[in-house]
Amino acid sequence: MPDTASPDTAPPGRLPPYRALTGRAGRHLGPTVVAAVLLIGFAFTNPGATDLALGVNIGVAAIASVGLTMTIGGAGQLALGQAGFMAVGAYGTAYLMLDREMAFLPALVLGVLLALVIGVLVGYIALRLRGHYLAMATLAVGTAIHAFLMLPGPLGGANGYAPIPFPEIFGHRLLDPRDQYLLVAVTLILVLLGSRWLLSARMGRELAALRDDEVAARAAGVNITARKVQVFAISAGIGALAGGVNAPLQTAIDPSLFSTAVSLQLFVMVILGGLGNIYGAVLGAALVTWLISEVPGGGSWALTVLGMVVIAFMALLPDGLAGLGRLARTARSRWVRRRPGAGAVITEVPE
Amino acid sequence: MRIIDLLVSGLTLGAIYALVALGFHLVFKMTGVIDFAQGDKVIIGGLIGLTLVNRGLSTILLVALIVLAAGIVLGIAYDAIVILPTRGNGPIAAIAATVGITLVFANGGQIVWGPDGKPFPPVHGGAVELGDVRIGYQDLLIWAVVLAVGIGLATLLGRSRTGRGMVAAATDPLAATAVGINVSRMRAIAFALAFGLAALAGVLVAPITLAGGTLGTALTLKGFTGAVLGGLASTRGVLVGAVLLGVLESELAAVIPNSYVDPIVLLALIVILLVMPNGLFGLRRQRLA
Repeated sequence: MPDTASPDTAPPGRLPPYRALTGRAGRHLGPTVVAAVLLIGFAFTNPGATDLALGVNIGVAAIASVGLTMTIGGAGQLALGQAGFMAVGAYGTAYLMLDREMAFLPALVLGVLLALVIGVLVGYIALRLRGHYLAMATLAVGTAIHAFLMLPGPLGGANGYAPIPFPEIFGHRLLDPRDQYLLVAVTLILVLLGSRWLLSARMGRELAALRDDEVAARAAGVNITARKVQVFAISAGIGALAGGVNAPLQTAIDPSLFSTAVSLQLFVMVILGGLGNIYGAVLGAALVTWLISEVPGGGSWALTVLGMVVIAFMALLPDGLAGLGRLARTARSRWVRRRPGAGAVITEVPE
Repeated sequence: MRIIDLLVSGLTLGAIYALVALGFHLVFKMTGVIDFAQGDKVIIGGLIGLTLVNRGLSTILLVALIVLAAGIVLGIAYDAIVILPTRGNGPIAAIAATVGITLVFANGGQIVWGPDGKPFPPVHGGAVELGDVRIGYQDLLIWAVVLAVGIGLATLLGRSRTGRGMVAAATDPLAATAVGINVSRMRAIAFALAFGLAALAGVLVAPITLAGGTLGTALTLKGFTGAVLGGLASTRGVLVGAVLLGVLESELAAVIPNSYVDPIVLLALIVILLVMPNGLFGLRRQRLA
């Protein structure tokens, strides 16, 4: 439990710690509440089954990319193997439900735990590698998980794994597409709440310190080892949650759902949404998933154009869509609020 | 002899990896960037060759030379459009841009040339027989190309004025600028060679793996594994490491089922990165930054 309310850490001239905590929680809840209203509200606008299926896909991608945002944006650690963790969650949950006849929720929890363990191992890899090397190593982890699932065996190899029973929660069997969508939506909202809390708590500030300057963070007393391992485990766990929730809704899964290409798509979602912004990641997930499903050509056109957009963003707007807002704010303060001191550079502390 | 046959195919595989790995080496030395699109450049090269063949150009050696030239031009454009503009935008920008171009190559290739691999004629069919061993002319050609490229690069980098300028620009761009070396031209040469050699590899390997398809990222990972095995910072190391990886991979298939080879190589990459990040020919122990 991060010790955010400790009085000696509160800088002078700010709100007292308990007020600061409530203020912070309130401020950070805003976007999540908006997201929750939009996500849940969509289910009651009488959408068709196709729209709900697209909603499920978007929600699953959004959960996984929020998890990826924790490592890439939160801690500045480049990870490119998120689809591998989705696969661990999906296959773990599916195997426990089908072969071990476990109920949905315990199977999901065990699947996520398995991914947490693998995430810890990857976290230890991240302790020794940085930047491009870490990116390549995590890409190799994701591809290796995919390659292992392709092997013939009890998990079906390339043919896939089926039939996974529909999830049953507290005696209610989720057969209706709307119920299935709501399951994904509620999971996404919980993931958003949890991530927001983690990033705004002491953990998030330590991750940001680690991202901006590892040596300085270490000097300031941040436990680099623990934070890196934790953030990789959390990110892997959230990825597995996405896969584990999705698998029983699809009734059949196969390794192609978790290929390297999917890992790269998740990376693009995080990049487009703006690094470190979990709501941006949700928007990025929605945009990418929607384009792939709506633009004809099986995703080829959509992904080609998205690749070009990523290149353009990295050249012009490295902060992604979130950078647009900052650019607009800078322009506004430059043109509208011309007054003494307006020329001063305002250094924003990223949340 | 199965072992010898596997050695022949392993050397060919390793030679292709070597052409990919050399691109990693050149770009890394010059810019510190590891290019995730390196394997997809091979696919693009094969597909450009396919277009030339479909237009009626039947001399494959000529096709290979044209593709090499096209790759060199594309490499210069690649640096100017994809990598150079990300300078100063933080460490993630360059990597993300190469991931972006990977998507463009992989999916754009599918739009233009279709999603499936297409058959591609070899430069020269047939094979020489040495006792029990059959060595295809295509294999011999690939070995010769890699040998020539290796010797050529070693000579270029070690002896020529341009090559020494490249080494200087890679070692310390600021100091190189101060003594009058055109660093951006050196950079362009590195990217041009990286793309050109990869594209050439695409034409050479297409008769074996089919032109096009979705092998790009796999080639990226294998080429990188080879480069890291030998030592990413050393030209000789990269060549030897890549060929060694090809041979090991091929011989491994004699012992265990083929489908287990890829996951083992991927895990080996992680172990190599953790245990000997400077590879077999690394000069000194250092942490990877």
